[in-house]
Amino acid sequence: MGALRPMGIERWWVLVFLTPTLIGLLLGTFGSIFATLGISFMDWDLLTPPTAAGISNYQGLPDDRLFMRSLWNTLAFAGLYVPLTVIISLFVALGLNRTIPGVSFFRVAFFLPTVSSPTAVGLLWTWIYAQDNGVLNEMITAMGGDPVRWLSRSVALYSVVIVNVWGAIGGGMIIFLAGLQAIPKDYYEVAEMDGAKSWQRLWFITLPALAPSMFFQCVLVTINAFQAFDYIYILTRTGNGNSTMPTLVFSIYRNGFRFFRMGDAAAQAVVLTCMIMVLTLIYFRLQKKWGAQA
Amino acid sequence: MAQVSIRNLVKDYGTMQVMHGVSFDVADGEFMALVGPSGCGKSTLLRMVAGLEDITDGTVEIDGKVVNDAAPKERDIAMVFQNYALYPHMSVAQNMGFSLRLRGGTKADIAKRVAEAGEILGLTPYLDRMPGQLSGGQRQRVAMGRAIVRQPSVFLFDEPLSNLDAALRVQMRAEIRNLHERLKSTSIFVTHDQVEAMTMADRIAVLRDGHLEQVGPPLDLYDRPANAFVAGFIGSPAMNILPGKASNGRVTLTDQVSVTADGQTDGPVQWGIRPEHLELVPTGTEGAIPATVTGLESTGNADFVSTKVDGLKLDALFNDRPKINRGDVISLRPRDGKSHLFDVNDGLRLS
Repeated sequence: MGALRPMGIERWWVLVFLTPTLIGLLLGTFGSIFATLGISFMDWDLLTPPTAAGISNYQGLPDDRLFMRSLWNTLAFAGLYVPLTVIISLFVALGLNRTIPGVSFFRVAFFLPTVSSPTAVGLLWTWIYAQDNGVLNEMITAMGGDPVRWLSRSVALYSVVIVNVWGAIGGGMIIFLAGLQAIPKDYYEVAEMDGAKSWQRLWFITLPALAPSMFFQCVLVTINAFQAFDYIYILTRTGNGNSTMPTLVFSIYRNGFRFFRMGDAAAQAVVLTCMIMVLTLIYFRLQKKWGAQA
Repeated sequence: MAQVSIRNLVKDYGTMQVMHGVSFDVADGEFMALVGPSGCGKSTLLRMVAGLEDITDGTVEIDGKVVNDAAPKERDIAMVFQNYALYPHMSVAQNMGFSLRLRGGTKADIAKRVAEAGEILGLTPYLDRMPGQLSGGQRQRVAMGRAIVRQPSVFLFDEPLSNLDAALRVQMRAEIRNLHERLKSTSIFVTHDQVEAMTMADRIAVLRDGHLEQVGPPLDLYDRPANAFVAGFIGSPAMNILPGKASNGRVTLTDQVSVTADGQTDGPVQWGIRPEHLELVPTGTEGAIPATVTGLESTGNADFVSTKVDGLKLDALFNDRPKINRGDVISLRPRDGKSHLFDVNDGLRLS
């Protein structure tokens, strides 16, 4: 091992070759984090020089109606989206983790949304959800029902959750399939000898063995939930630039690049980041407690 | 307690047949070893008995009942797997008690039986540990414990010792055998290691390429192998098997060398002699084979000598530390009545 460690002048060359990446990392990642943090304590409209604002941007958040509504929407969205995505993609993976004819077709079909352009797919769903001549409402009226305003304020949350869950099943399925295929076959054979029925094999063998994948998937999906933007924006934007279901990222975008209140936008971004960090931390704690087994 | 009868067992994987009508019985309380080289079908056979592989043709009977279509749990068997397959998220006690729990045993009863099995296997201090915290030997014991808590009528072992180091393997060999003496359950033990089979089993079934070559007590297989394959497979170091021509009670091996034939036959044969059945004798002794020493391996309790006889390879084993060196020409004499004759074509025993 020691012989492979760079010595003397070689160390400098290592640094030289790493510099482009390091600069990118410093400016791109850390730079923008610190810039956001800094801007959140300032008032800035992108045109005039920023002025110090102290913590007023943060203090103003509870009175910002768009922010508070976005916060509530984001929490409600995450509360539905995370469990639905994790559970549905788990069951899809369980269903597709076997050697049946055509299984590859279904795996591809479920994964397709993940590799499709969210904008294009979002527009497709706009048509499905459209109030007049939309696919869903056509079907409902054909069966004698009344058309539903799928993207109105009262229903948009559920419509948007459906699209986002649909779009996320493929990614979750891949992670669970990988986890399922890493479970040694012997466990199932031993369990069969032990007399475990199929639901007992699922409960006692598969699910515990999938715990690491499950935690990983929960963390990932939660982060995605708080950052969800593309489908939601395309589906719920209104003519005046507002949205029938604003989320935190939408609020940040609107404050920053529509109202040019960069300070407010940065403060909201910091709050969003902190929320994601706290949740991730909680997951890791939980994993340490229940998930980590030899 | 149960008897296992295997009748004309056949296994196909698609168009490939891997088991060609194997039949044998395992008596009640008997310890049977299934032995053979890799790919001979011994594990497949065991898994067919266990119910983990479908049976293409033939029958498996346990205690007089055909169990071909019975699920593994209905066969009253327990199996110890090669890599133990302990549930990683369950403690030792939970692993051992899992089958009882699935059968709806009471907590007190499960705890009692797990404690008993733990006691027998010396696992009492480890019952609360997770499998990941155990050594290889301890895991092996847990796998055994999981099998014995159920008190099944048949134990199946699929190469359970092959993941252990040499010293531990010898120790576990004895422990499994002792356990068998104590529980007296019918056992089928799959191994590729003929030493394991010889030392542990009441009887051995030798398989090759999905055919049963011979079934019998270990020493019968050693003393009177039914064919050249069994002769070469059972015994370590392996038997010397040389081509020759038999006539008038002698086997001619080369132009210069012939030996006494232990059997009446004429024509081309395979002549077999175990390395330990060759004596080192003074040069010129009648019936001796002149051999050039090409290799010498001493383990202290035995000296393994490889030699060449007119280009033929002949190995000998001594345990009195003879003073010989590489390159020496020594005289080897087969002990009377210890050589074997096999057919050149089908390898069947002639003598």
